[in-house]
Amino acid sequence: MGFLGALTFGSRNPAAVRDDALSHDDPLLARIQRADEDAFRTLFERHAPGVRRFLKDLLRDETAADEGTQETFVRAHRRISGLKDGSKLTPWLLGIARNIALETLRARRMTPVSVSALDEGEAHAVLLRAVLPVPTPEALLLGRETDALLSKALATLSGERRAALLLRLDHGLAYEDIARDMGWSLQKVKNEIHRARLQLRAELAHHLEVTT
Amino acid sequence: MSGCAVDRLESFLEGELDVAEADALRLHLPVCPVCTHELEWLRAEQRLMSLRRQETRKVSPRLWEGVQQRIAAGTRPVRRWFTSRTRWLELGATFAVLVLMVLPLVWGANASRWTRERGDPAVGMCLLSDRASDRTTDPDSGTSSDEGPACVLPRPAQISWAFSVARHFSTP
Repeated sequence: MGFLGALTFGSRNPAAVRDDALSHDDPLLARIQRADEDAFRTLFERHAPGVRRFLKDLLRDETAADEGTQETFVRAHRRISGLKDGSKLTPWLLGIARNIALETLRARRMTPVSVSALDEGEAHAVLLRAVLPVPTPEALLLGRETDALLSKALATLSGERRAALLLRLDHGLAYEDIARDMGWSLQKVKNEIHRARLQLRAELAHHLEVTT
Repeated sequence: MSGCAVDRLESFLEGELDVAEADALRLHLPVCPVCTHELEWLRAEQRLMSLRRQETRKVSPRLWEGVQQRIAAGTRPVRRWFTSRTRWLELGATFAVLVLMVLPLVWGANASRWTRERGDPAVGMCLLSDRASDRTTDPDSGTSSDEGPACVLPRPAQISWAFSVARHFSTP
C-alpha cells in the first residue's frame, strides 16, 4: 500500500467526515434561543474543538487559541439570538473565530500575508512541484506526528489562504459559506483553495521526501 | 465521459453528483491517471484531517469554565459600590429621608426647651424654623433683642424644598 493508499484506507465520505453534529444544530439553536444554558453548553462541547483547532492553525499559539476560543463563544452567546438558520452555526462560529484571530494578529502587529503579496513565480513553481510523484512513508502519517506534519505544511501557506483551505478541508464548509466568511467572490475562493491544496501537497511531499 | 473531470471529483467524493454523472466518472477513473491521482490526493487529505480531528476532539474543561465566568460577568456586571452613579443616588435619597425624619425631632426637642425657658406655647410649633430668625432687630439702633420669638409655623416653602431634595436624590 502506497502513501496515498495508506491515507485513503478507511477514509470516510467527506460529508460524513464533516461534523456529524451539523444536522442536529437546528433544534439546539432553538433551545439556546429560549435561554437554555444546557443547550449552550452542548453547543460549546460540540463546536469548541473545531473552533480551537481553527484558531490554533491561524494563530499558531496554544494560549492565544484558548483565549480566542473563549472569546468566540462569549460573542456567540451575546449574538446568537439573531441567528436564524441552525445549519449555519458552524460557518457562523468560525466566522467569529476568524475575526478574533485577525484582531489578535492586528494587536500583535502580525499582519497576515495577503494572497496578492505572494510571489507568483514561486506559486507557479509550487504548482509544478505538486504534480511530482509522492513517496510512500505510511507509518509517518499514522501516529501522533500527523498534527505536527500538517501544522508544518499549513504554516507555509499565507494566513488567508490557510484559513480558506481549512474552512473547506477541515471544517467542511461549502464554498459559498467560505466566500461569505472571507468576503471573497466564489471564483476566488475556488482558486485560492485549489492553489492552497497544491501548495500543501507539495509541502507534504517535500517533507516526506526529506524524512524517508 | 470524454474529458477529465478533476473539478468534479470533490463533488463525486461527497456524493453530490447525480447517478448518471457519478457512473460516468466511475467509468472514466480507471483510464485516467490524472483524475485517479487527484482522487487519491483528495482522499488522503480527508484521512489526514480525520486523524487530526481525532487528536483534537476534546478541549480543556477550563475553557468552558472561563466562558461561563465571562458570560456571567457580561450579564451581571460586578460593580464597585461607590463607583456606580445609581448607588450614589440611592445613598443620597436614603440620607435625605433620614435627615427629614431626624431634624423635626431635634428641632422639636429644642423648641420644647425654648418653651420651658420662655413660657411661650407658640414656640413649640416652631418646627423647621430658624431660631436666629426669631430674634427681633431694632432698625434704628441695629441691636437685636430677645423679646420673645416672632415664631412662624413650618413654612410651606421649606417643606416643599425638603420634598424636592428627596425627589431629586431618589430619581435615578
